[in-house]
Amino acid sequence: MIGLDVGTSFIVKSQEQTDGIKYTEFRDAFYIIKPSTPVATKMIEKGLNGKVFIKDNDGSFILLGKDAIEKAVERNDNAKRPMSKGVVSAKEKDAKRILAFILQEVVGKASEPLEKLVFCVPAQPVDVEDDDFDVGYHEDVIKSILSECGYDAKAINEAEALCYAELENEDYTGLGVSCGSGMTNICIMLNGEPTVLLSTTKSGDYIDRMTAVATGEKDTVVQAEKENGNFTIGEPNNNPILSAVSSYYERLIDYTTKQISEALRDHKSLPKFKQPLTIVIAGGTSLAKGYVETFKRKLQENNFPLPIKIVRHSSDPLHSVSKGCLIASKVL
Amino acid sequence: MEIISYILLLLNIISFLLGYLYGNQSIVQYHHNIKSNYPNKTILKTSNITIDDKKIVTKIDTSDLEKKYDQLGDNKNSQDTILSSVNKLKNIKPK
Repeated sequence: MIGLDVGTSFIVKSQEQTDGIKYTEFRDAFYIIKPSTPVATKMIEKGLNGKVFIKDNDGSFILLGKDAIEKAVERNDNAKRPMSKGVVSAKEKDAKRILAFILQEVVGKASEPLEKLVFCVPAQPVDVEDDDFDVGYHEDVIKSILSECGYDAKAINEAEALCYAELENEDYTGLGVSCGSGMTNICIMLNGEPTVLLSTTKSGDYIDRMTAVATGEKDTVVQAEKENGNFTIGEPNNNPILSAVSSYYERLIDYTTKQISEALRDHKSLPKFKQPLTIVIAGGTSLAKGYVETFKRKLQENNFPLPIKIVRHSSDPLHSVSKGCLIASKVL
Repeated sequence: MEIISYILLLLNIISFLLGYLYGNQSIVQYHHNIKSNYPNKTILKTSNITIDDKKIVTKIDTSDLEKKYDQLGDNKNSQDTILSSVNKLKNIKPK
């Protein structure tokens, strides 16, 4: 059985082993180099020795994963993503093909016919009405790719998976917030049942985009700086990129907590909780210093409508959604 | 001569009245027929028939992509176990 987190920025596969869980993670990015002459083709191919890349039938080279980001930064350009804002785009022909290739390589062929695999999908966002944003189509595309590999693939919500991985001690009652790069997904769970699922389309990529606009840098350059730089949310920083990143982080958390509070106020499916709730936060965007503390403060400032027991970080923020999918593959 | 004139005048008036009455009736019927040739808008509005416009997933061919690496992705091992989570969820979650 396999758990699979299909994220905008990372694809994480989880598999149970005798002594724990094995995670295979891959950066969800690509960068295309199109040689102009046969000589250039040979030179480029030689230069890519040791990198992770594929060759297309039109002669172009497609770098994948971390190597794609490194090459884009080197050329002061942006790496491409097979997914945008949590879903595969129906308009991007290249993106679908490359996502299929990456997924097939990461999961491999099923070890037995119709091996069970659970992957995650986002919830319908509360802040966008876009024809290109189609969760159903996204789910169908991923399912089709995985079925080709021989799996019996089922989808669950991303934040629901997080709750399965993190709320065991709370009898699977609480709130999970998965902060990916494309979206923020939220699940309110009551005794193992997801009662409210929602998402917003602003997360880590929003910070990169806005910082890129403010500083005149490329999104990929900002992303690399953000992931490797030393900054704390809400605190001043001498590095202009990190200073902007820090400010946009605070705005993003304010926006997210406002959206959650607004969506839950008078929500018809919201259960009457007897005890204050545990809120668990995960995802790559939540790795910034001060994220959880700022989130807790902003929930209070924005009048979150439910009593809170604790706001805590996941024990393994980058892997917990995939782990939750693996748990779901054994239960569902 | 006068009598003939009166008879003709009377016939004229009767013809006019008959023409007026029957003419009106046929116009009403004509308009009614025109209306019945067009679809009834009320029926179209209340129809529950919709077309399935869900996007179709076409086959995604990756056979023309030539792999040029040995290993894709990083592996990490965790000591975490999922057995207790699975058992607890199976107990509380209705099938």
